[in-house]
Amino acid sequence: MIALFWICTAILILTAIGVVASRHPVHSVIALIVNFSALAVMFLMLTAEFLAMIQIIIYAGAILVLFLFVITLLTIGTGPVESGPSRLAFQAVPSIVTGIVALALLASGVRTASAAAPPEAGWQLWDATADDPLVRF
Amino acid sequence: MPGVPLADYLAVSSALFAVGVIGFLLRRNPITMLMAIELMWNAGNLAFAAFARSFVDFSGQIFVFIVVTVAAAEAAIALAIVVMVFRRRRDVDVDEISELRG
Repeated sequence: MIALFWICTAILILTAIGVVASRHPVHSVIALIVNFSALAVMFLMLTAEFLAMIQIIIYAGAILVLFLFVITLLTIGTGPVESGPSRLAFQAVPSIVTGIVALALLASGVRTASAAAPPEAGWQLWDATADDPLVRF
Repeated sequence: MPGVPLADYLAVSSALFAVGVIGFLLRRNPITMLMAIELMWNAGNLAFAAFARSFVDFSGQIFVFIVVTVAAAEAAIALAIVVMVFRRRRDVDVDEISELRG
C-alpha cells in the first residue's frame, strides 16, 4: 500500500503542475478532475470513505462542472467553432469497450463485497417493523 | 494503512499547497487562479484528514466537510463575479481590471 501512496502522490503533483501550467483553461479543469480523483483515493487510504465520496460528488461533480460552464460562457463568440471531420466513428469502439470493462470491474467489486458482507440486518429490521403503523413513516 | 507515516502525508499536502501558491501568483487568467485556490484548499483537506487519522480524532474529517462547503460557495460566488466583470471583454486578464469605481 505504500506503492499506492506514492503513485497517488505522483499523480497529485503532476496534475497540479498541469493545472497551473496549461495554456487552455479546459485542460486545467481536466487535470484538476484527475487531481481530485487521486485525492479521493488518498482519503480512502486514510479510511475517510465519506470524505472520498464527498470529494468526488461535490468537487469533481459539481464545482468543476460549474468551472466548465463558466469557461464556456466566457469564450462564446471569441473564435470560430471548429467543425472538422467527425471523429465519432474512430472513438465508438474504444468507448464501448471501456464501458464494458468498467461494468465488469463494478460487478466484480460488488460481488466481492457482497460475498464478504455481514447479514443484512437493516433489511430484516425494516421488514419486522413494516406492519407497525407507529414505526412506519 | 500501516507503513505510511504522517510526515509523508504532510509533505504531499505542503507540495500541493506550494504548487497552488505558485500558480496563483504566476497566472493571469482568473479561472486558472481560482483553480489554484482550489488546489490550496484540497492541500489543507489532505492535511486535516491525515491528522484525523493520526490522532484518531474525527474532528479533522468534520472540518474537511466544512472546508468543502465553504470552497463550493466561494467558487460559485467568485465565478459569478468573474462572469459579470469579464462579460464584455475580449481577453480575460486580471491585470486589466485596475479601475474600481463605485
